[in-house]
Amino acid sequence: MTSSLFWLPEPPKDYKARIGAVGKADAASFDGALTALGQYRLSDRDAARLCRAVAESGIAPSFPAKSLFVLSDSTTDYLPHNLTAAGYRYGVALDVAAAPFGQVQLALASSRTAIGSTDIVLVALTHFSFAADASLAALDDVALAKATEDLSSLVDDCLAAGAKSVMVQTVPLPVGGRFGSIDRRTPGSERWFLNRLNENILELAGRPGVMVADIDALASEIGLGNWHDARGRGLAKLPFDSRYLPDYADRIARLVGASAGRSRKLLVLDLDNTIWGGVIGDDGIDGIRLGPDDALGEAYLAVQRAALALRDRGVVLAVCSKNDAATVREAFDTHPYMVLKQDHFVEIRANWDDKAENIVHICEALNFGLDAAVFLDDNPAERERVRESLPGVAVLEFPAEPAVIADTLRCCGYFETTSVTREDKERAGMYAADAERAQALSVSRSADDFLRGLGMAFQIDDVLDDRFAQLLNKTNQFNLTLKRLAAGEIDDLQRSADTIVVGGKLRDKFGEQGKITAVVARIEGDLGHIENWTMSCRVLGRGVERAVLNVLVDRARDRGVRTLVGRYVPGPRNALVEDHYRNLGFQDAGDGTWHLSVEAFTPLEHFIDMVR
Amino acid sequence: MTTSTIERLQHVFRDQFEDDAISITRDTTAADIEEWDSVLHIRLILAIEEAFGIRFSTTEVGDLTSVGDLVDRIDAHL
Repeated sequence: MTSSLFWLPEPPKDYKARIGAVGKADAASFDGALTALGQYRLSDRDAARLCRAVAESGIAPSFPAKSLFVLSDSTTDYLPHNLTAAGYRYGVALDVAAAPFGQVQLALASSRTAIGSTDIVLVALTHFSFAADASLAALDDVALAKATEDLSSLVDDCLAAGAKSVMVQTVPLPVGGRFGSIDRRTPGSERWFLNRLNENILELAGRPGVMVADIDALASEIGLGNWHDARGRGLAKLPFDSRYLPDYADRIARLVGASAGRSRKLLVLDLDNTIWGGVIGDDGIDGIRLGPDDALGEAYLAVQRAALALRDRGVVLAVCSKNDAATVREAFDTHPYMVLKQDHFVEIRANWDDKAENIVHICEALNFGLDAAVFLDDNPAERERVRESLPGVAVLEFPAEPAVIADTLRCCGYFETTSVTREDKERAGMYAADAERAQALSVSRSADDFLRGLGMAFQIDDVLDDRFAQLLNKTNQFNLTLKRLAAGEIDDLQRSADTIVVGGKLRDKFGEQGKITAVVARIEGDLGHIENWTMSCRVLGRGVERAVLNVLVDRARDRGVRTLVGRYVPGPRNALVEDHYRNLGFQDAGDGTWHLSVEAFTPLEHFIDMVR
Repeated sequence: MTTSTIERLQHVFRDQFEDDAISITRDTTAADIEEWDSVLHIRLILAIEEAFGIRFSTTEVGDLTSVGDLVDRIDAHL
């Protein structure tokens, strides 16, 4: 059986042995081992072996576990292991069960108990559910409305039975037709009916808890003549040609992974012979092949456009290449046909270091796990090196034909998403700004120079809005007491005469950070008890807390406070601020509190413009 | 010396049934191998087609019940 998952490498010769070894992996390395084993073009047999080895190992991956129940009008016996194995590719542990195939409404009725406890019900229909009799009326607009309504109530029934979500697939069109070219515009033809039904199915995805797997699109990519298997339909009620079980499973699993938040977020690109033709160190900027002048140049233009299209929808781009950094940067700035520019990348790591180490650095700088990264490189040795040393990273197979490298980026399932938000589109830019700041830090002579160079401005903003409440209630790391405020308490702060609040926004030369800190103190006689002090970790190490303390002391003095009293309450994730008060010059009172004399206080130095 | 059809077939059987101890003869039928049910039968047919690079017709598949039938039909296609 061959599939068209060309962006995955063929399993290596020793794949069986590697599967055997998974049972011997310890729990800590199990996830990585399993992710790595999933990153191949697995045949039906490979998938079955992998699933059995995992079951026999007795270890459960720490991936999100999802139960999936299949309602289908076709044979489902060959699905479960293919789906589960593809799930490992996308970081989910799929537990698949299926109703005996048949009319799906009946299957639902007989499977209510099973559906009630399932995470996802997959409604897998084929055109055989809409088999027409000879009359055109069997597939006319009345029939279409009824089919749509039936499907819609099937979805409702699944959700009402307790399923957490429903995944409906679009229906691949059959081969051939009744009239020829007019089929598509003639009510009563299968082509007319199924195209419209698919539109209606896609609209279902707007409902809460409903996803649509576009299997019609998959079948079209594969080619309907390949996809359908009339013999298999007759022999065993197969839904499609079994060669494409791995493709089908991949489409479903990537969507499940995306719905579980497991989609990858970062594309790391090599440069020479990957996003342009030739070796820039040898051929020079003018010598690389990129642009409309020849077929090879066109192929690489398409690669760059495909990468940019991913960036436009929120995938973060980085470069990891064995090259001279200055040459590379000059190429991005000056080559006339370069589609990708320096500022499209959060990191350009052009050096002679080990690529696996470079990728680790890139992920760390972005605070991403390695399982967020996808790597594209033409050099098989580099791919192998990254596969071996960083099993969490998805390493794309690199096609021998340059003209289809772009398709590799367009077809791989790692960046699947269930919806597109405006934030997705802007995300890559936000990370780019973060990376620029990090870069500014690394080139600065000292931390003070760096902070001065950031051009920071702090605008005091004491409005007790939702963001202020969110800072107090949702911050886990820079949070001194972990004291959460109930909804009403925020309003009380507003009215109370004996509280001091400080909040504020930060901006710097790279952009706005929004409101990033919230401090609340309660006055008791001449003491100012700091109830809590929170700050967004995005602005850690900028001296914001020093600037905020200056403001807090001023306000405390105005209100007759002589001593500020702070407390640190340790929690699971706030060790970061253990020494917060010590660092700000508070004295340890020995009773778990920290004291600061308002009279003796000299304002702390910082590099932030204070704006009122 | 080329490998005989039945030897190649045995390889497919062992792979499909995940059992390296399986030994087939021309007389072997579904009754002799516990896991050989209707679901596995189809999978077996597909695997044989892939291994030998052939394709049986619907008519042929209906007649394939013993290893002997399989060997004869495969040889007819080769």
